[in-house]
Amino acid sequence: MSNDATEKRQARILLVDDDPDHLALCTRWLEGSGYSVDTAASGTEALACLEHSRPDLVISDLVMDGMSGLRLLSEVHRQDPVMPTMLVSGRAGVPDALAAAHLGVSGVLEKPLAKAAFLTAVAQAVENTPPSARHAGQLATAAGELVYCSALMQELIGRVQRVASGTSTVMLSGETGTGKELIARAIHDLGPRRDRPFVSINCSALPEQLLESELFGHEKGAFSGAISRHMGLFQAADGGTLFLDEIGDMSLSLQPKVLRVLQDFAVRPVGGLQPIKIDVRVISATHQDLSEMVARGQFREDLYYRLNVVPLIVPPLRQRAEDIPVLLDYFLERLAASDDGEKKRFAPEAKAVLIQAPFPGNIRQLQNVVERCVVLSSGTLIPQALVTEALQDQTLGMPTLDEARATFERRYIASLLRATNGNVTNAAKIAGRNRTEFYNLLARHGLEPQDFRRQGGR
Amino acid sequence: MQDVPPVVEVEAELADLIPQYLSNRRADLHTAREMLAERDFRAISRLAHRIRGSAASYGFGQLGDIVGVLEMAADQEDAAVVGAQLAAYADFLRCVRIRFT
Repeated sequence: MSNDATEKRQARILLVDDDPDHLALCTRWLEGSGYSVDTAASGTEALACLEHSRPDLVISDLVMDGMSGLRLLSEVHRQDPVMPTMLVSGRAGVPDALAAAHLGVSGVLEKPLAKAAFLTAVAQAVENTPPSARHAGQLATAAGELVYCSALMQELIGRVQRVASGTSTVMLSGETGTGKELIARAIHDLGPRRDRPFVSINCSALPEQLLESELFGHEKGAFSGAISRHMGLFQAADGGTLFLDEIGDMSLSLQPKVLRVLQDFAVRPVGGLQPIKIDVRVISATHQDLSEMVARGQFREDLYYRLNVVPLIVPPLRQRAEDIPVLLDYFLERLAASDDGEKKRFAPEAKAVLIQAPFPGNIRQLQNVVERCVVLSSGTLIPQALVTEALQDQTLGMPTLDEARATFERRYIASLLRATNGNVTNAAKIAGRNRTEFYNLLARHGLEPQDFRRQGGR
Repeated sequence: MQDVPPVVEVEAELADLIPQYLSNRRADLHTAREMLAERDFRAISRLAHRIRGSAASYGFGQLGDIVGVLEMAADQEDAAVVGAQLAAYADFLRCVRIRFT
């Protein structure tokens, strides 16, 4: 059995026509070609049908008593912007054709229909991706691919391409999981700095002192425990891009030091005497409302304006539901490739549920839902029930026990080192571990005791 | 009256649909005659348009041509041509022979 035949057999078509003979004829042709067909004798009947099932394609007659085909398809697209649709008509004029094109209708077929041409048009509409997805964009970055087809994302990518060639600071705002780091990576990869380093740091993941040392570096002997020179990330990114994720979580006391670097284009490592010239483009990102934080005195206004020269907003997934079908296809493709298995697909009803879901965790959550459905589905067609179950599971956005334990452990050890001023013997004693075990823990989490000795040592 | 009985080639896969299709066309003929008696040309035009939409697809191209002229005549409210086309329609239904392919 060919995949093509399987696809057809699984595809469901809703036929709408007030001529029962025409409905019977088209149904026979379509069923003879392996499609599953639902019929409706009016627009109202069709909308009722769509309330409980989602076909792969809606084909409607243009001229019908009551609701016209154009009005019906307009209502269909209001409910589901990516639903493929076709019109058939014996008297479609230019205004109708224009209106149909405006509605995103896949095609307008003229009655009387010729069987071969009709089935070819249906096959194209069903087997291709949805109309909007035909204009899908895909932008590869070193960190992954940006996949989209919505006007919102096309506009954002257009701006990304325009700002990539410059050196202005860029501020990316958007909810968690919207792909801000991918956008930052795209700006770097599309610009003249693409062959230089892209260095990323999450400002919320490190304690203040450690973050300072990470950003600016320190000289050997700058403070007790600074047994060797440490190059900071500003220097490591010289000639390239430094991405400061979750900049809103940076402490107020560290902010003026970052501002100084941006003003002077120079960095002075802790303990160093001479500033070192650097050429770094800074891209920052936040899920918080920084302007509001400025108003509340929680973020420095001068740094805000320095970082926010080019503001870019990464829209949440709920504002660009058109992207969901292409993202689903992308994730399914990628999962099939990584498992060396057959690419699975979502049942039409399952896809409809996904398109209408709010996704507070955005693309990251969508990706988790797809992965879970692929793992749990026994066949190649993922049913609606599995999707509903995955969406209802609020724990999908939560870390695993191992992840939660690792996060807690790292924070706990960092707080011990802070409390003991970086004294490993004392920290290990409090933790109830011997020195060897404690050093193993430090290595696992990439923590250096000397980074915690600066307050007392300087 | 038809000189030569029209022979229509219809796909075999539609064979079981044809009796109902022809039955519906006979009912339409009856309805159209009543409409003509009431000089409801708009209704005749709509009916003819609907028949024209599927006639050729079923294989009844000649019937499609007849109702095409019927639709135009109804649009022009030309009772004489409408009457003549309904007579041709009736002849066609009476004489048509079907060969399934």
